[in-house]
Amino acid sequence: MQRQLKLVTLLIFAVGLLVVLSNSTFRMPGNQQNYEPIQPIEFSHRLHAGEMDIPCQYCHYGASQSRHAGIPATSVCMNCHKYVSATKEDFQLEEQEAVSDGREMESITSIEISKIYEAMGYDSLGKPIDGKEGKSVEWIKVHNIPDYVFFSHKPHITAGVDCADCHGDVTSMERIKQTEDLSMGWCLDCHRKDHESLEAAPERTQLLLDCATCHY
Amino acid sequence: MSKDKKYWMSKNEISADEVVAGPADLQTTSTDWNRRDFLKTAGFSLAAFMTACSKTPVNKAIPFLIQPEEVIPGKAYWYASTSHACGSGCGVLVKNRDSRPIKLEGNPDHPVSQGGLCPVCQASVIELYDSKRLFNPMISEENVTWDRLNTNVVQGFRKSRKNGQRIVILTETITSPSTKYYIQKFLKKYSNAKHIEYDPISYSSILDAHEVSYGKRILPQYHFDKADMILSLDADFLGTWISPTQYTKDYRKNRSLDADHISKHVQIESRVSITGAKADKRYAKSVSEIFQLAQDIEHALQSNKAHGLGSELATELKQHKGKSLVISGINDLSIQILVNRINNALENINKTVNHRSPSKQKNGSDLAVAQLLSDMKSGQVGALIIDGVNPVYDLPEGEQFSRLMESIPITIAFSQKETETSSQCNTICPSPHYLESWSDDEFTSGILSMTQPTIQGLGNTRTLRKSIASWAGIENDERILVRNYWKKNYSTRKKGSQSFNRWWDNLVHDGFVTIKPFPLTMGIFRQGTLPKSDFKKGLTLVAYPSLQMLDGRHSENPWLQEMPDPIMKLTWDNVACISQIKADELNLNQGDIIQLSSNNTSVELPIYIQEGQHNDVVAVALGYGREGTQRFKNIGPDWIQKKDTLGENELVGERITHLLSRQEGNIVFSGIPVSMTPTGKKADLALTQTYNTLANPENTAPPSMKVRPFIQETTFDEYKKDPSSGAHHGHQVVTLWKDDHPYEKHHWGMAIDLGACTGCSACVISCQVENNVPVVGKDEVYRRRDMAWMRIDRYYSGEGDDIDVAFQPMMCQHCDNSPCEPVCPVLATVHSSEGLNQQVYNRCVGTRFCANNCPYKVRRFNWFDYAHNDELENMVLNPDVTVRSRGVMEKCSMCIQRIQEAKIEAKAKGLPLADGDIKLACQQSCPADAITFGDLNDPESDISKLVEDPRHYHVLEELNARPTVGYLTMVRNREEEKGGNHHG
Repeated sequence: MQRQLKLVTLLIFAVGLLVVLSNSTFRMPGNQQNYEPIQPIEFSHRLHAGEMDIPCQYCHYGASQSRHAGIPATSVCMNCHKYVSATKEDFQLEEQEAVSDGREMESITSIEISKIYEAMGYDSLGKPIDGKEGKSVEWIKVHNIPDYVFFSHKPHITAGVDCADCHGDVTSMERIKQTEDLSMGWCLDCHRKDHESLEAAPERTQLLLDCATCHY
Repeated sequence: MSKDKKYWMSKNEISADEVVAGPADLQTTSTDWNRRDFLKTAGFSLAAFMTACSKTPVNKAIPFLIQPEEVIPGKAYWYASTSHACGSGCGVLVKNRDSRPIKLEGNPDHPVSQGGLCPVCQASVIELYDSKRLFNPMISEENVTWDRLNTNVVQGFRKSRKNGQRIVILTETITSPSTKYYIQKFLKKYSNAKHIEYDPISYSSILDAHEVSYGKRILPQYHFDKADMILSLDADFLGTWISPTQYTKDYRKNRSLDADHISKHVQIESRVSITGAKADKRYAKSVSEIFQLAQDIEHALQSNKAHGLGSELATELKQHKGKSLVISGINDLSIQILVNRINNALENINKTVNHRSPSKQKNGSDLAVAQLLSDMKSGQVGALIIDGVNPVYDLPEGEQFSRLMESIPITIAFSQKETETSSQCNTICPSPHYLESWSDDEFTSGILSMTQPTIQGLGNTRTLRKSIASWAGIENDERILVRNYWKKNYSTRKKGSQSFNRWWDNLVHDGFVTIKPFPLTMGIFRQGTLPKSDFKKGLTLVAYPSLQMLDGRHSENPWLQEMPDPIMKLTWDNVACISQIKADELNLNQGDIIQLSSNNTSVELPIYIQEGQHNDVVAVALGYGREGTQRFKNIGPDWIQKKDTLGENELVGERITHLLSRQEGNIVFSGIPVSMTPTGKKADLALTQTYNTLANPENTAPPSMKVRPFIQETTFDEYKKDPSSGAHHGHQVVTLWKDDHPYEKHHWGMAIDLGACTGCSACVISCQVENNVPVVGKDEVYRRRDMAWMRIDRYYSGEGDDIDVAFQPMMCQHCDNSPCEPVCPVLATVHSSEGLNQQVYNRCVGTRFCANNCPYKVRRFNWFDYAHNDELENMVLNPDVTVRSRGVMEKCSMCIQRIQEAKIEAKAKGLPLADGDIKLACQQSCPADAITFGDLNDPESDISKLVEDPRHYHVLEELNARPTVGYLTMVRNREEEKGGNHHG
C-alpha cells in the first residue's frame, strides 16, 4: 500500500513537472523561433557581416537570382581565407611572442579556419595536398520552412526587402539564430502591409494574398 | 453537325447504373469489421500515439565544395539536346535543376520537333534515374573493368578471325555519322566483320520498295504540310509512324481555318488509331481489302476503269496532282510498290514525297536479319555485338535466335537495362542514357542534331561509338570522338564560312545545325513487278506499335505503362481488340481471355471490344510481355486488399512477336491468319474511361431546350458559311451568383482546339512529369483511383465500323463559379485573385466533398502515400511542386509554379508580363498546338481572341460554373451530313 501511494505521488509529480515545463516552452509544431544550433565551424556573422561589413550577397549570391539564397561553397570562403588564416589578435600575439623569444614569426592557423582547410583537403597552412580530396562542410540548416510552402528569395530582393527584416540583425550574431517564427501569420503581416515603404515602384507591388502565392 | 449525332464514351452509358456502381467485385458487402469500427479504433490508437511525438528533425545544408561557374542552387538551366527515346530524333530542351535533368521540352527551333514532344520522349527522363539499370561492365555475370573487357573482347575477335568466322555488329538504325565512321574503321580492321541494321518496328519494305522503284534504298521525307489530299493506308502517322511529332506539326500547318481550303485526310485502316480518329473520313478495311484497294486506285489512275471506293479516291487524288500524298504503314513490299506507283502517277515526287533530302530515321533491313539467322545456323558467326535492339524479343524467330546465340563464342550486348537478349550474352557493356552522353545524329539528311550530356554519368557506362572505336584502335573521350570526326568532315558539309570552333559551339548551343545533304541521285522511276502477295481473308491479326510502348523498349517506364491508350483507355496491359459483332459471334464479353493461335504458336489475351474495328481483324499491341516488367509486381500502395499489377506470366501484358511471320524476308505485322478460342478465364482490365465520365442529365437543360453536347462539331464548308456552325446558341443562363469578383490584375484562361487535338497524350505525360503526379499501379486504376491531373476523354459516334472518334482533353476548368469551393468545410479550395481555383494541400482534411461536387470529375484524392522510396528515382521530382501526402485532394493547378516563375522573372526585369511568357506543361508539349493559355484581361492576347471566336464554347455551360477553360468546335473537312444545324 505504502509503495503504491509513493508511486502515485511520483506520477502526479512527474505529470506536474511536464505541464510546467511544457508551459514555458510551448509552441506550435514546426515553430523553431530562437533556434540556434551549434555549427560545425564557429562561423561568426558578427565578425564577417558586422565588423568586416561584407555584403550579404557576397556569400549568399543566390538570393537575387534564385529561390535559395544558398550557403557559400567552401571555395568561396577560400577567396579570403587563402590569405587570412587567423585573427588579427592572434597574429599580434604571435608577433609579440616572436619578438620576446627572438625568433622569426611563424605562420599560424586558427582552429576554426583550419576546419575550412581540412574541408578543402589542404594542410594546416592552407596549401593543397596532392591527391587529397575535400569534403563539404555539413552546416546545420537554421531557417526551415515546410515542403508545402514555396518561398523564393528572388522576388523579395527585387521588391527591396531588407535581409534583416526576416533574418534579424545578423551583424550582431556570433552564431546564427532564427529570430522570427516564420509562420504564415508572420508572412502575411508583411504581405498585407502597404508596400509603399519598399523600394519598388507602387505599380509593381500588389497584395500577394492568394493561397497559391506560396502553396502549390 | 447533324441534329441526331450523338457522342458517347462507352456502351456502359446506355445502362447508367453500371457506371455508378463500379466493378462488381469491388462492391463491398457488409463484413464484421466496418468502416466506423475501424475509425473508432484508429482514433484511440492515434490518441495513444500522440503522446510519443518526436522532436523536429535536424536538417543539414551541404553546399558545394568548389563553386561551379554560373551554377546557382534552385535556378533552372536549359540545355539543347536531342531525344533518342522514340527514334524520330526530336530536338529537346533539357531543364536542369541543381545539375540534374528533370524535364524535357521540345526545342521550338528544331526542324523535327518544332517545339512539340511525344509522350515517349517526355517520359524517357525517368529512365535515366532507374536504379535497376546496368551500371558496370560484366563478363559472365562478373563485374570487370573496361580494360579487362577490352582485352577479352579483342582476343575473341582475333580468335574468330583465325577460325574464319564472322564478327557481326547488329544494331538498330545508326543515325550518327561519327558512329558510322568508327564502325567503318572497325570493319576495315576486321575484314571478317559485318554491320547489320534492323528496326524492331520495321520500315524495311518502304526502303526495299524504293530500291525497286528508284534504284536507291531510301526512306523519303513526307511533307504533310504541302499535301492537300492525304490518303493513309493503315499508317498511324500522327501516333507512331516514323516521325509522329514532326508529322503532326506539319499536318496542322495545312489545316488553318483562315485559309480558303484545308487538307483532306482519308484514313483506310484495319484497327482504330488516333490518326483514324483525326481523319476527315475513315474507312475500316481488313489488310487484304486494303491491298485490293491499293490495286484499284492504281488501276483507276492508269486506266480509269476501276469502280467503287478505289476509283472515287483516285478521282479525288487526281484533282490534287502534285499536292497529294499516299502512304502506307503496312510492311509489305507489294503494297509499298503500289504506293510508289500511285505517288509517281500523281506527280508527288519531290513535292510531297521528298527524295532529295530523305529521312534517315529508319534504315533497317528485315532481309539482312533473316540472312544473319541462317549464318548463325551454319556456325559462321564467331562474335556478335548487339546494340539498341533486342532480337530475342523483337524477332518472330526470337527463341531460335536465343538458342543459336549459345553457340557463338563471344556475344556482346550494349544495353541500358537487362533485356531478353542481354541476359543471353556473355559480355555486357552498359550504355549511357542519352541524357548523359554525347552524340551527333543526322535523323534527316541536311540536319545535324547534337546530343550533349546534362548530368555526370551515373554508371560506368560507354557508348557503342567509344567501344567500337577503342576496339578499332582509336582511344579517346566520348566528346573528342564526336568532335574529331566533325573537325575532319565539317568543311565538306557545313553551310556558311564559320571557323570550326565557332561552328561546333553553335551546334552544341543550338542543338542542331543545317548541313549540306549528301548528293543523291535517284534512278528513273520503274514500274517494277509486284511480288506475289498472299493476303488471307478471314480472321487476321494486326500487330501494331502502341503509342505508349512502341516496340517495348520503354516497358520499364512506369509513366508510360500507366498512360491510358488514347483509344481504348487501357493501362498496364495489352489486349486482343475485336469488333462487337465478332464478340457476339463467339459469345465473348470484354475481359474474357481467349487463345490466339497462328503458326503453331499461341498466346492468351483478354478481349477488348473496340468500336469501329473491322470484323475480321484482331488488333494486338506490340511491346508488352517484356522481361524486366517483373519489377512492377509491387508497384502501387501496399494495403490489405491489394491486387497484383502483373498477369499470370508475372509480366505486364503478353509478347506477341512470335505470332508474326515473314513474307519475302520482310516481317509481316498485319494480316496474319489467326484462330481464336475462348479459354473460359476472365481478366480485369484497368480502363480509365469506365469512371469519371461527365454526365449531362436532361433536367439541366433550360426549359424547352435540349442539353448541349460535350463535343461540338462542324464541317469546313459549313464553317466557311457560318463560323458559328456546330455551336449551340441561345441558351440563357439563370444565375444566383452576383458578379462581384473582378479580376483586376490577371485573369488566366485556356482554350483547347478540338479540331487540332490528336489525342496523342503528350500533354498527359508532360503534366505528370511537371507536377509530380504519382504512379498508382494497375489495381488502383481498376479501383478508379488513378491520379492523372489531365486526362483525354474519348468519345465515339456512329454505328458498327463506321464511327467518328473525338478527343477532349479534360482537366480542372478553373470555374469562376467553382462548384467545389462552397462545399469545402475548411477553405482548402478557394479562388485566387487571378481567376484560378487553388487547392491548398496543407489545409485539406480530405472530406472529398469537392470531388463529389465537381461536374467535370477532375479532382483526384490521395488514398495513400504513393511510393517515393527509390532515392535515385526521386531525383526526377520537380522541386517546385509539393509531393502530396495521403488524405489530401489534388488537381490541375494551371502550372501555377510556371505562372509564379514568369511573374517573378518579369518583375526582376522590370517588364510587364507579355503574352506567351507563360507556357504550361501541357501546352508546351502539344505537337498539334491545340492548347492556348493566357491572360483574359489582355485584349491583345491569343486567348482573348480565341474566347471571342465563334467556335469557342464551354463544356456543361448550362450548369453556369463559368469555366475559364474553353473548347473550340471540331472542324472536319467532309461533305455535310444529312440534317441541319442544331440551334437550341
